[in-house]
Amino acid sequence: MTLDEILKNGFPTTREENWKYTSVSVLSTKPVLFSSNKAVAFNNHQQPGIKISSENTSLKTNADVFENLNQYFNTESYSITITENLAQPLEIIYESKDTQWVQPKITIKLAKNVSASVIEIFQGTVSHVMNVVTDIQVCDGGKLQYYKIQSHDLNTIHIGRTHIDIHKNAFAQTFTLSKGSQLARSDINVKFIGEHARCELYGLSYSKHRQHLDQHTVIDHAVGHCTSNEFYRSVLDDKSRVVFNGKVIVRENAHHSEANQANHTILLSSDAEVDTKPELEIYYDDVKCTHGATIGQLDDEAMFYLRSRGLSEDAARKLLIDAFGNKVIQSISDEKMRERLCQY
Amino acid sequence: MIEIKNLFASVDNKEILRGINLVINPGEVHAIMGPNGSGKSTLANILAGRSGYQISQGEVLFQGKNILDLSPEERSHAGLFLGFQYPVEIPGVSNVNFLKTALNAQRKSRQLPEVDAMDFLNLVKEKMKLLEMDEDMIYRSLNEGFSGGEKKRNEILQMLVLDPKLALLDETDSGLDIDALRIIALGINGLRNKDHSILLITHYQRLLNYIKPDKVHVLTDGKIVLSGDAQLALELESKGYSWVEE
Repeated sequence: MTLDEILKNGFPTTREENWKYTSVSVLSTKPVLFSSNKAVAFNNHQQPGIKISSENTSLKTNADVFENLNQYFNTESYSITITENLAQPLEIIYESKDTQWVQPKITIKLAKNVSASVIEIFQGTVSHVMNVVTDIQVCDGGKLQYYKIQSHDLNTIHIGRTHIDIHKNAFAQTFTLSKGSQLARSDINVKFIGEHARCELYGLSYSKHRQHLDQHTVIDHAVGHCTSNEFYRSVLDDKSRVVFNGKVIVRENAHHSEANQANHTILLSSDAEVDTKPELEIYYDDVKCTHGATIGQLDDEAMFYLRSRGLSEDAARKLLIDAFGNKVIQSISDEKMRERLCQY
Repeated sequence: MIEIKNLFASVDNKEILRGINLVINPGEVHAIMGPNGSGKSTLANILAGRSGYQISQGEVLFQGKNILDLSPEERSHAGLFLGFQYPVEIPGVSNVNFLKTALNAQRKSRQLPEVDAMDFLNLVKEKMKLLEMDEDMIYRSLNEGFSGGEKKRNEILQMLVLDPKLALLDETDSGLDIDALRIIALGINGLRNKDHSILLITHYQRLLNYIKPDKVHVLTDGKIVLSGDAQLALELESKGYSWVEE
């Protein structure tokens, strides 16, 4: 595809269902702005069983303008294979030193029956546009823990998508923390390729000022006997906005599929707005799907209880907000990681 | 310790307290008894600083200082403690972490350094032993999934760790079986000495079998209508509240 072809229709607008609650009108389509800028570093990548090359892989079908741009510029791509259980999580750190677009692509292949943790950390103080694609394959019997920490500077724009294909008897657990950027759209797209696979998707958004944080997930039960669980929570303050869109597709003949989804939100300010949208596309009868969403405020009774024990109003609020988020963090299997995540 | 003078208070323009007068001296244990809706819990909540009440008259002096304009945390720092009738469940906050945060908030208000982690744990374990609580309860989420009795024990545990000068215990005995009642009473008696005061708010006389009060007051319709010694509670138990109203 040429750049003209990619940009022919511009960026998506809020008239498109998939971008209904998130406007990217702040982005300019002037190609001159998409110059290259490298930003990726690794930690714990010299463990046995990890091989990293800089080769780029082909695009997924149905790639949108952002993925096509990422592919076109191809400024930085890494292909990682993991063939042994990892003792330490592989860390991928994204930190831009320049105010340009950053368009890295990471492809990870987790070999059969291998268990590994991967953390992507987005940080730094330089304002930029991050347009990142992470493409993960969990082969038969593999176990993936995937964490995405989005704590960019508040001037940054983040467009990120993570594809995870899960093969037979494999398992993927993901956790996405979204707290940085002025505008962030983070997609996790899971597809079950083989039967008896499972996934657990967890996420937290903490927004303030005028931040706009969007977490989209798609779980595609393309084959039967797979289970997905999804648990997202958000805390919004000031005039910020959070979007949660959880789509579950159960294909025809995907026998014994089970999909559960829950999204809970606390609004700390009457000027904050949350849009929460479960989306179920079910083409088969023999399935079990649940979803639920709640939106509330901090509990006055709990505030009084904590203050009556001597906690200041601020400390009581902080404790309740942390407690609300901890319920998600506690779902993560890895204890060390739970402790680490509590620090963000 | 505390002096309540002619206190009038209402909720949504409905008058609940109609001129309460009460003095509790250091070292004394008082009990307020009364039928449902007489204003017992309202009094405890107002003393602890819960919002939502309009106070039209009167003052409350705690160790000589009017506390009605103070926030709940300032009252707590001054040494006031409310044992809740319905303790709040807070999922995601461990009991031990909460207790430590609360104790350190108290210490900070007195310009003391944070409590040593080992000292703290030993203190909590010692108090838990007294209350016959399972040690693993301190690692569970605050009150989450606790039975009624466990919640009340947890209130008393907090009281013993925070060591307040005045404990207001709002129906701490309600919903307890006889063994739990005995243990709770043991905990409450653990606070009792010449520097600490306790105000027990209760429906029933049975708690007072274990904690002998210095004074008993009967609250009906927002007013203390009768005061006496421990004997009064026994009389109430046998004759009922209607006896007072006559």
